Amino acid sequence: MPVKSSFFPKQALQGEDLPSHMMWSDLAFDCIKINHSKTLAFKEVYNVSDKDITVKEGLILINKVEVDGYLGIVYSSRILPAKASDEKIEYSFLLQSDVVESLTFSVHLFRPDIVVHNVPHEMSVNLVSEKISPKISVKNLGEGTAVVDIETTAESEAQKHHPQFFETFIQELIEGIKSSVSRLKDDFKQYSALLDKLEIYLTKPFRFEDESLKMFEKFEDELSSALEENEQFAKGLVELLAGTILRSAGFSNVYQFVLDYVNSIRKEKILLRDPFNVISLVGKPVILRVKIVCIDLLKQKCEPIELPPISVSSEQSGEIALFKLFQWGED
Amino acid sequence: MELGAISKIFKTTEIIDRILLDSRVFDIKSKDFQLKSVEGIMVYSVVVAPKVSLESGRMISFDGIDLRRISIFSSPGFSEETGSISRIEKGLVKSFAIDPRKISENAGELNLKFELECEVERVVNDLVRKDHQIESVGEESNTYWLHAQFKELSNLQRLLRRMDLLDIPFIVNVAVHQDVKTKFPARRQHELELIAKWARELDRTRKNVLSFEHLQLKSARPREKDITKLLCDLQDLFLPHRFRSFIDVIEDFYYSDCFRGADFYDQIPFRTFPKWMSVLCRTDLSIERPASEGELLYKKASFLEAVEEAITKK
Repeated sequence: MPVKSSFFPKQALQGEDLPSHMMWSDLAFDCIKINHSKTLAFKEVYNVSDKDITVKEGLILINKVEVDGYLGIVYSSRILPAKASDEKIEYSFLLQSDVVESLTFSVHLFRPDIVVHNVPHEMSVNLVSEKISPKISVKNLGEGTAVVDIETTAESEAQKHHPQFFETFIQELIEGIKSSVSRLKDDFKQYSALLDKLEIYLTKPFRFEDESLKMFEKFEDELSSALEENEQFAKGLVELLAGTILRSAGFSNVYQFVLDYVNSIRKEKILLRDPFNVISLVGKPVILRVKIVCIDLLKQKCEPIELPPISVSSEQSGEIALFKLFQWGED
Repeated sequence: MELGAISKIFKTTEIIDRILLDSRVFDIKSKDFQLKSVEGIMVYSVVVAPKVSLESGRMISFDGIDLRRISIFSSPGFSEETGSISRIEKGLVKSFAIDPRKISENAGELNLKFELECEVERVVNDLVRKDHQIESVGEESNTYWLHAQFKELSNLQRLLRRMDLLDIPFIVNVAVHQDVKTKFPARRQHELELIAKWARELDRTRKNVLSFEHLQLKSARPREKDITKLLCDLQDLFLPHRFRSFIDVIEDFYYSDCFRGADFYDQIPFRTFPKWMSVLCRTDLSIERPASEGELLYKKASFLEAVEEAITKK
């Protein structure tokens, strides 16, 4: 086989970059023709000079490579109307218009697909038994993970907030994180600027908004490179911060912590960002207005879903975790 | 030629070449580069041939060059010429010097290895495109593809005989959240909720009610594993040596290490258990092999069995 090695991803999130390569030996050709689905777009080419490549919609023609035996191409994919799609790509090596070698690949592109059913006009909550009826049904019909944030809008009478017992913990946690980051900065001076950004993200959670997500993605890339480069830093960071969080928790919150972990993971690959947040109920109906915002694992925002107003009533006064008003997936 | 950070390395190696040639003792025969990611160095190997008697040579000093070490191997015996290298320290500044007179009399060609301090991450980013799968779909196991390729080849090939990039790091976040959740029974979740409420309850009557509820729950299943022991056993699964058994990394990549992953978009980035495990994989690239592909296989079914065992087995 003249083609010694070839690569194209089999699966990817919609919006993910798709790298590919071909390596060959003893292969005579005067053109490499690549037919690809219009869902994919050419992004970068390696080992080909600009004058030797022609890019059209769904078609790439390469006259020659700089160093014989290697071609690298990166494609970009985009979010599609369909929640999953299989796309094909075909590489053909041509010599005087005859195909001398050809390879076909297929990639499964998927994404999360959050849908909301059964939004009631009225909802009744028993704060003692935590019986809620009827619940709002949220499903992820896609194969991708959705990180979901439930926001109460400005018009909502009930606003989400931390439960009282959590406030002290959060304050201690923020102080603990600041002191841990400062210790890390002493040990890893070269990552000082990065650790400053980390402290901001850990102590002031950001909203799922385009600009913040872009900045967060950039920060995560920088952090990931630093962790890859320096294993000591990776382990130091993880251990010190995990330790800080557990220390801040104290005995009374350790079980709450585990509970939050379990609560934050829902079926159908739904991850809740803040399962501990609550709304307060005061013994009479309050209007709740919420917006479901979600991102995929590439930090791409899904279309926010704003729900119609819901009148939430309870005979008791107290707090209820906001996520409990929903039925997540097939739970 | 857009080679970024490696241009700095080339400038340093040009200085080394100049020092060697100015000594009038050696002729340079060939040059190789080898980036060692784990050690954080670029090894610049120069094969030289003595053009005059080594006895007539003078001390060759490499002042002002950020070197970690120098080693010399002589042919035909491939013996290390340790006696010919001296390390000079002036305060905080260190440098190296080679004394040709101390090299073995019968030495033929010499391989001089200069270990240069190197910003590995920047060199790799300038030369290599790195990609890996962000999320995987699969019932029994999840595979994550890994891919590395040279961005620039022709200029490197023109300038160098050999360039090896060794142990290029990749961190892949392997999702474990659904697997822990699937096996965590609803009644144990209810028990956690009761204990958490009990722990923060200050009213004696309500605390007693919660204690009673907890006792009722426990007496309904007296042989069930203690919740604290369950949580400890579950925690053990995320220790690197345990989690490693659920991971296979397939060539051209290899497994290097793993640790708990963080969710920095969560308000609590490290919960009691991780949602992701970060697996550090590595691969090599060279001018002769400009691309590498591999797979990380997460043995989901085995991990689910281990989670179930941690939850149920006493």
